[in-house]
Amino acid sequence: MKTTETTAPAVTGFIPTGLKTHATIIDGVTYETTTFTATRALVMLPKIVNLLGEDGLTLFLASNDDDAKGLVEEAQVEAALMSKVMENAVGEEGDADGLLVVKDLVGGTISNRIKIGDNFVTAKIGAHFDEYFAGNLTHLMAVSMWVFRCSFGEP
Amino acid sequence: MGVSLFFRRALVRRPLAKWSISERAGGPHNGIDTENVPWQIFVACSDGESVNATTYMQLQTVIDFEGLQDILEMHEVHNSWKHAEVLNAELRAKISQG
Repeated sequence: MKTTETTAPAVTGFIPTGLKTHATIIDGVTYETTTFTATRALVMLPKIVNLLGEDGLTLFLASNDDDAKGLVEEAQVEAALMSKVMENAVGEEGDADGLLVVKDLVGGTISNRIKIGDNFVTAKIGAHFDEYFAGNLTHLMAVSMWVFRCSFGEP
Repeated sequence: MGVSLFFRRALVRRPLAKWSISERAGGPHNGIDTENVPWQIFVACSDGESVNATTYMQLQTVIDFEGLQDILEMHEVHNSWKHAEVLNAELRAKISQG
């Protein structure tokens, strides 16, 4: 696991500093994400905490990707985590809108393995989320954990 | 939800010394609290008299969660100094009165 940290150019151009940009490689795929702004972080946090529950949050804040990924790859842990997440995601009306927060969490992250037609390109995951993670929930968990730690813990 | 599980960046920050403020606690009137704005954003943008729109904008564009905590810490320290000045002035007044 190789993780780097840089400072992105100012988004608006009128302030000389910017949000930190982080890069890593997970399962051979290069990812780049920018730390959430304070306001966005505060809006997302309650939703994430509700979705993950106490145990899930502990796992997401695990000290490094290898530890976290190792845990998720254990069938029992993955099953327990997914079960809890689904339970928390289902709202009072029976929908699973809670899961949208995961899409929101990783949507702005850039991957170099977005498949468009027969080619792989470097792009934001957002619009390709469903196809990108189809059948690969373990990878989704690993990417989500890393993105989460970039804004709320130590990447 | 245990507090210790909350954000690691908040957890690893060294806690400030405890201090108390009596501005709002000094009487029965407390005003109102925010309903739609996270209180951290309000505290970061407010100097007690006005709202700093520039900070508000920056919190939505270039300041991250860690930066917000820095701002809140600086507000806390500044408020403690202002409160200390008031207490010191009261103390000097008492001493001069004899």
